[in-house]
Amino acid sequence: MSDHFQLVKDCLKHKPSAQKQLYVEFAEQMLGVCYRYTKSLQDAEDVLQEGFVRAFTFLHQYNNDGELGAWLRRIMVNTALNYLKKNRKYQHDLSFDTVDLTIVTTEDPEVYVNCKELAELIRQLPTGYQTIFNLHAVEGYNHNEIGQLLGISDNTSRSQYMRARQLLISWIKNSSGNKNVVYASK
Amino acid sequence: MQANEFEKNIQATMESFSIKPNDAVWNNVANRIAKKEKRRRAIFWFFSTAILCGAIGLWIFSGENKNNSFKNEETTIAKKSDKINAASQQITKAEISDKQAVSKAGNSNLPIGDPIITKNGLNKNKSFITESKAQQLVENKNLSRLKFSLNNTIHDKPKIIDPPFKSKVADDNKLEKAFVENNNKEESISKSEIESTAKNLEKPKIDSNYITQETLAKIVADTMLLTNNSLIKQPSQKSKWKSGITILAGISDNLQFSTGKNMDANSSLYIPPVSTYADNTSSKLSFTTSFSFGIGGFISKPLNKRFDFSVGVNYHFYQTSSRVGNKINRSASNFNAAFLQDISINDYYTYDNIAGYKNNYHLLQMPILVSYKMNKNTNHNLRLSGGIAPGYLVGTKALFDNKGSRILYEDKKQFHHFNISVNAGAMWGWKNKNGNEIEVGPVLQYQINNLVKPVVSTSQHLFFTGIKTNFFFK
Repeated sequence: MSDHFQLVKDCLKHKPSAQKQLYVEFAEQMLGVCYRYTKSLQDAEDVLQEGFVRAFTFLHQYNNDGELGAWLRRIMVNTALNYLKKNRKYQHDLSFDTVDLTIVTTEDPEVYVNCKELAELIRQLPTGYQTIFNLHAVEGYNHNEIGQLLGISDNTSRSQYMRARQLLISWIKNSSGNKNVVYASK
Repeated sequence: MQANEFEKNIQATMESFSIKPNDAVWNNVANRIAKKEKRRRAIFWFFSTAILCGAIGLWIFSGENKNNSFKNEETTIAKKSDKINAASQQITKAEISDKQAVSKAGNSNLPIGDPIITKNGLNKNKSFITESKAQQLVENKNLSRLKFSLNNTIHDKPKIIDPPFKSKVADDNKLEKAFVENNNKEESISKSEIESTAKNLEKPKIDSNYITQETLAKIVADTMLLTNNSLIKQPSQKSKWKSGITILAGISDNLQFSTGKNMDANSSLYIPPVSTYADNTSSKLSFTTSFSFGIGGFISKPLNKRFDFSVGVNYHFYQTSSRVGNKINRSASNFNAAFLQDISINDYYTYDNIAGYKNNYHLLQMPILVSYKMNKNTNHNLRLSGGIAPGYLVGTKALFDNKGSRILYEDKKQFHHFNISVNAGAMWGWKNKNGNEIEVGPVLQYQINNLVKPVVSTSQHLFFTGIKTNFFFK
């Protein structure tokens, strides 16, 4: 924590070495965050780049009372959401009503996949589901906050999340050897 | 509860998820934050300079009226002083004549040390001047400032005699009125008239023992006319060429803009990568500001009261900083492509942010400027200037960004030698005690043509901002 305090202080003095140190320390973890919200590694790196630029720009707003990693993570998530909204490639997919699936099971399996496989599965979700699932299941935002972030109602967020969750569970089951498909399109 | 377990499990699984980003990401981040920092500094300096200029301008304008009134006052006082001195000399002569006349007439009633000058003796009581009153006239309220500013001039001279029974102010006004009338005549009076007047003054006609106040005023005014014409040199109002030297100091930068040309693999300009860092597709050479200076000479000529024209020759040293990678000491003369077939380089740099590199540009420029004088103050000029500066790049030690090969190296052939810049600035000028004229102010200079040859996807334009100082020769 004290190291980060000094690191932030040096970054605020625009010391390139400190800026690079901060980047090196958090870049891999943050790219993991960005990767889950996008569909390609290149897009994830674009988000990471934009996120770090914003982080260095607004670093003076970091008040050292929380974890620097968590602060950076919030910036990355917000940057990713902005990226999805602005990028034409994602605008169409970021519709929360186009994909309509019928859940046929509500079982909650144990997650046996590793993080890489899980991340890949999350990225296979439709963009809207993917976003809400990431925000709620991984980042821990509640549906009210998600609604505010995405401009949708709490209920929409909740229902979308449930569908994304069930879809993901079904894929996890499949990837774990359980070949029973537990969802079907309407 | 089961659902919460699922989310917890997901969070725990994803906690350790990380991916190593491409090195290019950091390069881009570093470039962008450097650019933001540069912009922030530029804004800071711009506003600082603007505030400084505003403050100086305000100071000049606020002091202008004060200076003008003080200057007018000084001029009036100086004129009064000259007139009074001349008048005093005349009075002295008159006194001598008077004494002689008095002596001849045997008028022993008049005190020798306190001569009386009156007209025909009829107005003896109304208007006569005594030496004892001269001190009072000098110390008169209207002339007290004169005494202050021109102390030496007055004190060693004979005193003016003042009538005791009339208002001193009225007398003084009368004198002044005569001065003004004669000053107005000044331009229309010929030299012969002046000489004639001078002769007359040398031999004042006093047909009695006394002279009148009006006569005294006339004598004073005529004497003033002579004094003005003989002693005061009128400066030539015709505009002349002035010369001087210019010194510039500030910061320079190389601004880059996209030209929309891509050097992808399908392009005819594509050069196969020679660097192992070639996968860094989004990298590019970026520049940050660095110290810059210039020196030269100029000549200027007033076009009218407001506009000046100047032309000169300057040597301008531009400098920018770049972040580069490792220096590769390896000959790369074998890679030929459309525009690099004649190029042979011994070493080059890779894209990275490891070391700093100073890009130098040596330019000879010929600034052609027109300046506009914003105020009327002759001692403190505030001018806005603008113009163009054709230039020639005589030498450079700048890196060329070969985007095809994605390497950086020195290559003079990739730069345009002839270039043209636009100049703008504000100059504050004044004259020092020795009469030397100096102008100082902020200037901007922007090269409007592309510095590099148009085979790369970005255009480069040198930019300078700093302080310019002009020293005029006498």
